[in-house]
Amino acid sequence: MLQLKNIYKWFNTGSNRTFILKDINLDIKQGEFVSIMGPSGSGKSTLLNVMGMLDEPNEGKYIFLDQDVLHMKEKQRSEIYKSHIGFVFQAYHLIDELTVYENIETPLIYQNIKSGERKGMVADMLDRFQIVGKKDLFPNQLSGGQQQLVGIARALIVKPKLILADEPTGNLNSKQGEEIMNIFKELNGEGVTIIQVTHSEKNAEYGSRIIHLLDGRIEKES
Amino acid sequence: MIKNYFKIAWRNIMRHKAYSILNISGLAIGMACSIFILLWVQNELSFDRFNTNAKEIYRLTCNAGDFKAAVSPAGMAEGLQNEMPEIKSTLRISKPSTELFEEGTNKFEEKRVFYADSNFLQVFSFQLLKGNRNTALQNPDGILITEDMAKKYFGNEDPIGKIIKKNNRKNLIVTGVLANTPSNSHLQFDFILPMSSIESTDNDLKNKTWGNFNYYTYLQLHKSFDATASNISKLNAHIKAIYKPHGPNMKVDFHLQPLTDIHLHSDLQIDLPGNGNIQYVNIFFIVAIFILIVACINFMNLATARSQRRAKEVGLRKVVGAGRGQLMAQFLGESLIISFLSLVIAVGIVWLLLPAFNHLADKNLSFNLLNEKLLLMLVGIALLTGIFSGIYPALFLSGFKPITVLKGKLTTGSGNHLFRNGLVVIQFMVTIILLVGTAVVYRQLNFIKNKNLGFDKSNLVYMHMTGDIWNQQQALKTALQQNPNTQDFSILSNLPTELTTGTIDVQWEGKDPKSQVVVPSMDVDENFMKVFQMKMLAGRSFSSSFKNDSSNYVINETAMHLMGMNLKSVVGKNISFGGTKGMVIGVVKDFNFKPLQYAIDPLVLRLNKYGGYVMLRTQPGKTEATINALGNISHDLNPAYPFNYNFLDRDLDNLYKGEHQMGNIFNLFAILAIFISCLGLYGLSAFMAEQRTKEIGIRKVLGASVFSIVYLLSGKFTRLIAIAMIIAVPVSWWAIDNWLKGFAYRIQIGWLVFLLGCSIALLIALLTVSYESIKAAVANPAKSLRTE
Repeated sequence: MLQLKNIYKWFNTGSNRTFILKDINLDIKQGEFVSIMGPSGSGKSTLLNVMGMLDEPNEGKYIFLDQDVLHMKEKQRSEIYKSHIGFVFQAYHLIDELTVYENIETPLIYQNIKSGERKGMVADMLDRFQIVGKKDLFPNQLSGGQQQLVGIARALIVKPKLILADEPTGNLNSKQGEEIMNIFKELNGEGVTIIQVTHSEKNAEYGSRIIHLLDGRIEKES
Repeated sequence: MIKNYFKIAWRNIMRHKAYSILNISGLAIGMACSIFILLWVQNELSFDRFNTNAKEIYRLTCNAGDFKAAVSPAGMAEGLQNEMPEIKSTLRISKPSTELFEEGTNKFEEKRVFYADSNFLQVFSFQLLKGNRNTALQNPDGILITEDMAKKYFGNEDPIGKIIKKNNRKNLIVTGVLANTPSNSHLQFDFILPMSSIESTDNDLKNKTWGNFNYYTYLQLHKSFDATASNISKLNAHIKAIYKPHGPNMKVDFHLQPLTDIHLHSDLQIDLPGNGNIQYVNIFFIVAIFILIVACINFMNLATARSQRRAKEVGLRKVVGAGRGQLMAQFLGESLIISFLSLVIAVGIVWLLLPAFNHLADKNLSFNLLNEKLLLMLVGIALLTGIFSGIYPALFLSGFKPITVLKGKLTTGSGNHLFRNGLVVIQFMVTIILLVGTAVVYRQLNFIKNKNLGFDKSNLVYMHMTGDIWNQQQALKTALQQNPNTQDFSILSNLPTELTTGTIDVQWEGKDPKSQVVVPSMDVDENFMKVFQMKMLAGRSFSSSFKNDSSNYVINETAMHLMGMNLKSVVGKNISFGGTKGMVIGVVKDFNFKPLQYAIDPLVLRLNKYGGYVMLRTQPGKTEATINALGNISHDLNPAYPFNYNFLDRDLDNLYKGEHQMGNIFNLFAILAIFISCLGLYGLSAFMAEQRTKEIGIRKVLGASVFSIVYLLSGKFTRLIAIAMIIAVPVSWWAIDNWLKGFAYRIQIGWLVFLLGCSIALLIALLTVSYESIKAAVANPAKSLRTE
């Protein structure tokens, strides 16, 4: 599904060059459930952002679905991630001004899907996560777990092939976290590729593959 | 998608109410101002365009050296038409005339009376409500009256065929009722009489003179005439050539002035009253745009300052797939919604305050939303404002990189700060310019009002001679002398307010035969100097103890210099004025006899033997008694005419009515522009104080005083205003200097005005900013730090 080849990312402080990612080589297949682990500052989130095309490496090659993304124009790239990638964030990142329903609907609007169709798709999502009753509430009226459910629903609405999750359970208590991880497991079972960044060994275990990062390098894989 | 944008925009407006109110009220006030000004400008530009033939009509104006006038000789119309095939028809109109009209018991002295050639209604498109357009002015005893006059004289009766008695002698038949003169016509009349009715008595008309400039001549050119500048100047040259044999000694040029230029582009003497000034139209138009820009700047400033709040939304939308174009569309949509909302409020304001504005501007503007043009203009304003004020925030906000935003690391770049600061500087620059402008306009108008004209203008009451008084001069003088209240009187031919006569027929010893000067004259009696309290510099004034004074002249200082004489040599010199030889017996200190836009011209005073105006100097506290006494005398000598009097100082004030109106409007809009700027500044300062809550908390914990924090928060604005001052001073100096050049008598621009403008701007700005700054500074740091 995606290949990273010799990815470097750095920033310059004075005459020193500080590396955030250093020679990352990674090949992730369709249907995998990958967990990325590592201490703070090891480059986990940056790596995830590079894979999600939110951030660009300084050097290296990134092939996504057989296309060289780094040489694309911004517009083409956003076309790709619009239709193939869903993001889930630690801080949920819902739009405060929109209701649950509208938050889930937003990605569809940007894909120019007709309103009738959108209604059906959003209704399915609300059903699936059993949040139909909450559809007219605003994010700040929900608990953290519920907000993250909305976040996942929003990520899934475009039927992505890949979900990138940056510490999705970081702000949740263990019971809520477990629920979320089960949902991921379930999605993975349906064939969605999932890449998550996590601190928790327990959550990492849900994945089929664990990548350990240290100081921007892949330390080990298991 | 649009529905979604609309929803978000609406929620944003409702959620941040304070912000929205600041934004919308600022924009609404700004728009209302602009609408007012644009209505005014539109009205000024619309003058005389209601005439169907407006594009083909020209007025013949003359130009003798420095003396430019709107009048031309009575014989020229016919003469030109005979020789110029381009002319379709010509029309002469008299200068406004004062006549006494009488119908039954209704008797009024009317001042808006004109005599016009019989094709008046064919050349101009004034609406005739009753009567026959083609024959209305054929009958020499006919008269056309306006609707208002019909009501005044005949009530609800049909006036057609009814008799109106003119000047107690002649019966006129009403042959038509005209609609009231449109307010945007340069010609403002109540009565139109056929020229044929005075053809037998008026020497100019009888002789078809080419020498006396006493009539307004309008030429209607053929439709086929291509009115390019070069063609017009060819016509002008042709007219000059035609004129030449009629006045071989006159150096005079003629110009065809397009009808539609008369109101705004006329700087002519002996013109009809009420003309506007293109300079004011331009100034106000610029002010309207300034105000709108100031309001837009508020919007931009507040929107970008608030960007951090919106940044997360932008980032998220991008992550879920929004393109930059879509985001820009969203933000532009929001600003359009706000601008249209403001427009609705602005329309409400305009609708409510239009009567007040009409009063202020002395206009009769209407605000009809069903008018397509107006509607288009309004929508245009809203669209422009929305796009102009939304484009920068849209560009700025949609440019966020989602990753930085979501990481929470958004630091608004220095470019943004620079831009915002630039906007504040522009705003205050405009404010200072308007403040300085207001101060200068006020001072100049005051200067004009209080300028020493060379005579004491207060306590002067006058009466224009009418009817039988003309024939009873001696009885009048005797009667005036007998009453102690009226004995301080003078009889003069013209008022020294707007002297409109002049001749080039002046000769003196040593005159350069090539030079041509138009010299005005006034005919005054022996009391003139005493009543007006003027000063003689040499020789003596007219006196009843000298018999030959009727062929003697008193000249003013300027005339003396013109003739190359000095105070020692001047008395006793012989000059010839209007063909009459005489001796200079005295020199009067220069006094103003024209509006202060004009410098003092040379002037010749002659002894008055025929009358004109009776001018009285009243004693303090006895004004009413004096007027009553004058009224009684008028009634005794001239019972057929109603008694009318005026105060000279009021007439003088009226000369500057246009300037006063423009001053008032300017002041009003300057104040509003400042207010709008302050709204924006307040919003900005509130926002910055809020952003720096944590910083302020920490500083306070570390021991900062309230004062030092207020200083910290307002210091930045002070610097910005300082920059604004540096730019505003030269710009406003230039603008003011330009305006003042229009006055021959003007104030000196001192540095004090600029200092005043700048300090007021600074003071207002600091007051505005300090409220939020002090609030932030006195807040409990424990609270602000905990919430972070």
